[in-house]
Amino acid sequence: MKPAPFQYVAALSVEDAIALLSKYGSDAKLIAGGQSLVPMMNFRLARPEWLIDINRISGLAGIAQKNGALRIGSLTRYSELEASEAVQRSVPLLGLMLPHIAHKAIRNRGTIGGSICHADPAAEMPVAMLALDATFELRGPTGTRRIAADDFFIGQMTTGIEAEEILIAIEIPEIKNSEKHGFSEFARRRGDFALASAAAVLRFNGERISDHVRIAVGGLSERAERARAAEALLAGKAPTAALIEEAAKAAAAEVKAGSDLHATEAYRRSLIATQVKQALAVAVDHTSSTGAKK
Amino acid sequence: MSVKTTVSDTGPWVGQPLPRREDARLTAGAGTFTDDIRMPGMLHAAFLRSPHAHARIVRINADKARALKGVHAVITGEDVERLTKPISTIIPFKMFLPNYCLAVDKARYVGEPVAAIAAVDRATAEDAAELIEVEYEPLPAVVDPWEAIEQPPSFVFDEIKSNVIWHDTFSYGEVDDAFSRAAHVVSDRFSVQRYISTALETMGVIGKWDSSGLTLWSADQRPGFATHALTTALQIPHSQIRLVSPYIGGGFGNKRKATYMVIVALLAREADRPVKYLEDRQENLLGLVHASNQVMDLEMALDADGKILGLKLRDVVDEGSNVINPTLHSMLKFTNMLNNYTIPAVRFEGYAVLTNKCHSGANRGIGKPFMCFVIERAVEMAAKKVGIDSLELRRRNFIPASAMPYESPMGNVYDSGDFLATLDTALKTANYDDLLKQQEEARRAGRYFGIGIATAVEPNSLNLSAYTLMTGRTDTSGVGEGALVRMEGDGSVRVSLGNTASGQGYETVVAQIVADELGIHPHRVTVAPGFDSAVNPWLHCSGSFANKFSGTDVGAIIEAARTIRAKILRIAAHLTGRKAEELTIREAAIWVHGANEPLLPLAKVAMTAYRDLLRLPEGEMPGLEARHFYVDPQSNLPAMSKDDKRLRFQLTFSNSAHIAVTEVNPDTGAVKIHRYIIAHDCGREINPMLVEGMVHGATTHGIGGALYEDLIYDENGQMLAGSFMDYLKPTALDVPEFEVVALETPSPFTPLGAKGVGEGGSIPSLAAITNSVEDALKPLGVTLTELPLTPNKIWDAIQKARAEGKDT
Ligand SMILES: Cc1cc2nc3c(=O)[nH]c(=O)nc-3n(C[C@H](O)[C@H](O)[C@H](O)COP(=O)(O)OP(=O)(O)OC[C@H]3O[C@@H](n4cnc5c(N)ncnc54)[C@H](O)[C@@H]3O)c2cc1C
Repeated sequence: MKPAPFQYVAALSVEDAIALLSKYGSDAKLIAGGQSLVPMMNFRLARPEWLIDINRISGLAGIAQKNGALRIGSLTRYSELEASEAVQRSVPLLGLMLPHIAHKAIRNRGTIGGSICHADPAAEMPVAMLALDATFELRGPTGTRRIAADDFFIGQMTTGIEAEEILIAIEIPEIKNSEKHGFSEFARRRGDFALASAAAVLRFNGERISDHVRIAVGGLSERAERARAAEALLAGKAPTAALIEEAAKAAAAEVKAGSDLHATEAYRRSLIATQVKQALAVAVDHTSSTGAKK
Repeated sequence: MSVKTTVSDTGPWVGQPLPRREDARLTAGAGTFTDDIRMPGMLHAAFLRSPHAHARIVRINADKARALKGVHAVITGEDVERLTKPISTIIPFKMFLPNYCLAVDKARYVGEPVAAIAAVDRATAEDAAELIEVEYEPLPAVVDPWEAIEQPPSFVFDEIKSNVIWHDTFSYGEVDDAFSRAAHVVSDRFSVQRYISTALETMGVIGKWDSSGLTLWSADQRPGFATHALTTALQIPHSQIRLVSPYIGGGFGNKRKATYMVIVALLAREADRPVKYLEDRQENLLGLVHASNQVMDLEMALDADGKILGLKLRDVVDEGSNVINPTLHSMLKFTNMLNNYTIPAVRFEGYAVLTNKCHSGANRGIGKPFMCFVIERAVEMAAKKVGIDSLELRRRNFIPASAMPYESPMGNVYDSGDFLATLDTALKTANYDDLLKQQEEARRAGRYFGIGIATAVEPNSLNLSAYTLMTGRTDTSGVGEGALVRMEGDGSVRVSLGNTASGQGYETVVAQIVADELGIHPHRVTVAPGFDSAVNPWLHCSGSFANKFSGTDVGAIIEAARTIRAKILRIAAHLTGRKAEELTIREAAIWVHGANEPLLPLAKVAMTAYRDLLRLPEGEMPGLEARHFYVDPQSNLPAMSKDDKRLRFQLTFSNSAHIAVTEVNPDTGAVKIHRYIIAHDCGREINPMLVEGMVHGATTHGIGGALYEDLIYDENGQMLAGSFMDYLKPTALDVPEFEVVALETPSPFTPLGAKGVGEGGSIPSLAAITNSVEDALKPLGVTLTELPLTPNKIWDAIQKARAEGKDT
């Protein structure tokens, strides 16, 4: 279990990385935390000829608050996010979700950008990104562009990023006063990839849910998905137990779920329903995560 | 934790919870394992493994691999056929089986080595493996064991023209009569999946040739068998093979692989350099060895009071491609089928079946976890049928303590144990009545809360005469072990064993035993951490298997130590003009019995033995070194009559009762273990701290088998769980804090009264968890007979029960 031969080069700046990507094209891969790429290389499922290390690029990691949004550098490690008071306060969903990603040792290495670009359909980060309306800043040889999470995740480990582009930063709107977050996941063991996960972001108009409803689901066949039918059911209504149940069922029915070693499709859809229900229940109850500290 | 943790600073040392002296070294990363050994010029091996479950190998072209820079040797099946003899098989057939170290002509499972490369580093060797072109002609894969018997799509070994490698019926007592008298008969089919211990250290071998022959360094836990296999395969004198086992990072029965050794030996000879091979985790899961998946049809006859009258069993063991010891699971299962009950009549029809899967082999408890699963599930079912509590049914059927030693219909002699006391201790520790109340409350609140009980024997040591009954071979019998004890001139002692330590703590417990025998402090006893066939005493059956340490190995250690002790006393008597019978050894000195002052320092006697040769008693050989080969006196030969198939298969019997308290989430099918209580009796405990560690580890193994681990194959024979992403081990987060209580009924059959403990936890845990989960789902009327209990399977069972309207 050793990787196929490759050349290693460390980029010292974003420009450097883009120049290298432009030169080697699809023969090259960026390496961030290496927690997905290295196992794939060891299994020889990924065989880049050039490995471009972005770990030494200064300014690619870090968390800043600006204009009502958090700007998170793509190279920021999960552990840094977990430890950040700004993240815990302004994006409670991340605080709820991060402990479900792998184990501490992996969270010390793995990066937010790596998870987003890897786009594993069972990973947690893409689910959160969809529910949070995150925007990704990409830079390539022709300049910088911004893309919404909704448009970014395309399919099984495929995204809207081009071969010569690098993900620079992730922008996430800070939680509003009337907004509540919830997350829930079912995995065989703590730290495993989700068989089903769900994130909920609800904004309220008094006792009622407003039009801003986001439900995202993971553990699916192709990619993390928004459950739009479920969202529509909730919009403008009071979150009764019966309504939540109905929304959960709708979510389970509308997403692309499949069978694998650990779950048949029927079982997985049932899990999706329970996780959506639980995420919504957490959001509805979760006073401690609604920005109460603000 | 119930364990005594205080250590006194005088003997006797046996029975004290001495901390493991190997731990400081191992936790600091200072142990030398096979992979830590580096040699000048050493090459690294990689194997090309079959992607097919069953395929004819039409052609192999390794030219490109040989031409790659850094590659020093490449071997394929052709070379192997030319250069070696097949590895010997223990099967009930006389024909030749091409059981080589690499696939010759045919690949028989996904992951079977097809070619091997030695190169300057592992990555280069793997690059070379990719360059080898193999033309395969895929053949129908034999996957399902019943299909393998009844409608074989092909034969795993064409030579035998059947996939049934062994089929026999063993009948003891009046079985038909038992069933004709029965008031109740319980019958069902039970199954267990393939799972396996995954030691932290994967299997590795280093091979090096020089003018004195072949030296191998390997984590092999059965060095006796391994070197024997090598001498026949490589056709070199046994005396020219030296096998060194450095530290072994976990054994569990499955740390053995003669084929890897032969491959490495061939590569090292071809390259004329030392060669190292170390499995990666994928190779370890695909191809080291698997415990068999097994299916058993059971019928249990009971009288109106719930006394078990007899068993009819039909059992199928999926051996994969195992032709080395394919009857092992069958044998160890059926000979223990009584578990801890008096069952006067048993008929066992067994099949051992070849399929296109990784070969089966030994793993912690071999067959007995499934034995216990079947019996302890059947006992629950029987109790329902008879209309009594399953605890009461167990009590009515236990072999009573007063009947010990008890001879089973199969010929096993249960040495000791009070099964009722063990069960009652577990119930008391669990606060069973409180648990029942908790359960009632939980059920009222709509929660699925279960209490599962299983009791078990843990058989120890294995009389290898058993192979005669299984295969008709008459060249192996009994069981034994070797030990060497040497007191140096300063009175300190070194010990080496034929057994290979793989984490059991021998450095600690052997020092405790020898310290007591020789009247010294355990700190003065050094136990060699590894094995070296050029130094250690060993037999072909030497090594770590079948829980044999506490009887067989301790016998060898004690006999060797006693030989030294007697000699010390003879020399001391001679030096002081006393009679040896007047003297004893204590606190590193020679004493006259009952005296207040020592007579002579022990070191004085020891030094005399090594250098003052002319002052030794007349005829006394210098030195204080004894090598003892011990034959377990409990082992016997099978009866000469053809119909008498009784034998003392296993030699002493520990026992335990497990109580698992679980809760099932009806939405997800997930099982949470709230509490896990264990009462166990392994006779006299040599070191209670180590004993408790064994109990924890073995029970965790069973929890893995019950809930998580599955070496699952698809219908084409592809193994789907080739990494720890898909082969799920229970982690510390998935295992409860065990509540362990020990009983100590000394065995009359072993030198110290001690019995085995390394396998015990893995035996009742499958049944305890399943009984508990079924009990949790009692309101739904679910019956569980197939392992593992994955959340998906439990959820399916809940859906089915609800659809049938069973929910109450
Ligand atoms: C044992 C184990 C368990 C795990 N469990 C989980 C889990 O439960 N849930 C989960 O979500 N993940 C899990 N992971 C994966 C982990 O979260 C990874 O860290 C993450 O998926 C990738 O982040 P990384 O920084 O390590 O990326 P890398 O592995 O370095 O890269 C991943 C991919 O992203 C690309 N990439 C990285 N950074 C950029 C960038 N800035 N711009 C463009 N492309 C980029 C790389 O080229 C590569 O294709 C687990 C990993 C391990 C080893």
